[in-house]
Amino acid sequence: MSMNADIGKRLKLPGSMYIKAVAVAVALAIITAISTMWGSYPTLVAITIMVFYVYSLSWSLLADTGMVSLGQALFFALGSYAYGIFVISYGMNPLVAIFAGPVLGALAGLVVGFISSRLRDWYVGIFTFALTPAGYALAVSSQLSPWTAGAVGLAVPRFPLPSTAWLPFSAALAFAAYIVIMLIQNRRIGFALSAINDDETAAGTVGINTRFYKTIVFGISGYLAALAGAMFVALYTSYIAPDYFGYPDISYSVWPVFYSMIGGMGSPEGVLLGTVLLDPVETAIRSWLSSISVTGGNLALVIFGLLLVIVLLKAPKGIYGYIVRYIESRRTKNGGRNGTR
Amino acid sequence: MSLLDVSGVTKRFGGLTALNGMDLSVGKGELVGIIGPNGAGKTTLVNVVMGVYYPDSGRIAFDGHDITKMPPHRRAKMGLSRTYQVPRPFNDLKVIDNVAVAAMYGSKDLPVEEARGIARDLLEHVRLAEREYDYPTSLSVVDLRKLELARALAQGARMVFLDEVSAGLVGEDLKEVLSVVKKLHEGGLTIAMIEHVMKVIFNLAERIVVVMNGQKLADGKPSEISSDARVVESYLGRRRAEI
Repeated sequence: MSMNADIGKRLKLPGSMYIKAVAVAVALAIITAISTMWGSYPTLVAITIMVFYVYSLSWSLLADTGMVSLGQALFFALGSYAYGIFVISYGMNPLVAIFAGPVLGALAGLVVGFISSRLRDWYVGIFTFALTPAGYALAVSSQLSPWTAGAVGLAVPRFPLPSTAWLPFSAALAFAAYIVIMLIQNRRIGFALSAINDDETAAGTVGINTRFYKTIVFGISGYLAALAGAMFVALYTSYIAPDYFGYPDISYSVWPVFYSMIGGMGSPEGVLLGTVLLDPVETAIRSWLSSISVTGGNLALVIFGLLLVIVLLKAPKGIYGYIVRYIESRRTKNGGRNGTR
Repeated sequence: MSLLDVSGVTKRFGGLTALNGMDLSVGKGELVGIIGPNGAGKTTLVNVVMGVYYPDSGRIAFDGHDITKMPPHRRAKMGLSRTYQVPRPFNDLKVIDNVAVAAMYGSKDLPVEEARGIARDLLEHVRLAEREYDYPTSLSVVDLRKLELARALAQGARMVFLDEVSAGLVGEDLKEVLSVVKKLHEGGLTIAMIEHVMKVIFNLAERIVVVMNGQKLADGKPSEISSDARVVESYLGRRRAEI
């Protein structure tokens, strides 16, 4: 028991926070350096890693507050469109628009969060899922087509940074998103979110305004998802399509779920691990399928679905949670039954 | 003047009337026992007072303020608190942070480190200090009860509802939890405790309220309750035979 308390004191050290942050910074820097030296295609893949890391963080922040969003693509696509429309229709500098566009995602997040905070359990999932066709319908509607170009989609101008800077720029944004999540988790608000996730009724009874915090969290999540959407079109596709709303192709809402859950729920480091491991696989499968002229299918979804089941059976807190648990159990030699945080 | 005043509260769940014109009044510093058969509405009463459900009719006042339709977190900030029949700790937070989070968001808004300081003192107080960096999943039932007591205190509670604090405990464990309860009461905390173990309640409570079919059946000193014909007939008679 004294061993446990000792480990606990070590884990509680604020130092561990900085060690993790440095580790994530180094990991992102290594990915950036290796891909840049490797060539232009790996660089492009690395950019998608950064984009989907930000996107997955937006999802896992909600999940760690007890809210499962199955329509995260709503915010992602809002970010894409807001960026594109600000740049094309209003002539905003893309470097400004990439941060200003996601504000729309944050506002949408606050509204969705206000409603979701009054729902429990899977109703949040159903509600958010139901919003994505609505987003799609708006994007293709004739009333909004002067801005959205309807089903044709929008081609966005080239991002005004030298292309060698695109990956470092997206890596910096990914690191900033990580810092945001880490600060939330380690500050006062993080305790409230953790309590809400564990037991919402009990959290209310100790004085936590559960609806307020759930709404705020949705706003932050909406911003991050929209930032990912803006990064995606600014630095990767240069094109915005209505199906980014995750309708009819639901995969846009599903990737962050896979990456977060397989990588590690409850920790931004685990989400990074999941994204780094899975995103290149997804890209590789997709390009392989198109090289053998198979279209429309989404083999990666099938594979990741099976992988998710296997991982969750063996490690409910994902690969990262499994590793942490293993290390702790080696240290304490008591089977690591004291959790992973 | 009474601290808590529940008057004529009715709560229905579909066709079931869990509370049917329930009255309860608890004075400052009192230790009131609430007894009654299973399904009498005791836990529903706690839930309605805490704001988990709003009553269909009736009025709840705390410290002179009408709290009938007040959300739970605001009641907590006013100083109302509870423990659960089946302990409900925050399993992803360490023992110390389970208590600290209540100090952060309770009657005062405190920063993390100050809240942890309070939590450490309270864990000392309930004799749980050596488990402060463990997770609740590794605690025994008696330790979980002590954790919930510490959590209730950390939020700066003026009144605590103890929902079967003795459930699942025997011998030394039971004595230890009850001694903590006693200590809190002597410290001036107002306590309403729901209890199934008659020996416990008759020894501890200054006043006993008997609940039956969602209503108050009797209200008085332990000696009066144990000789109340209605109570003996409807509830105690059977229970006494079991003890």
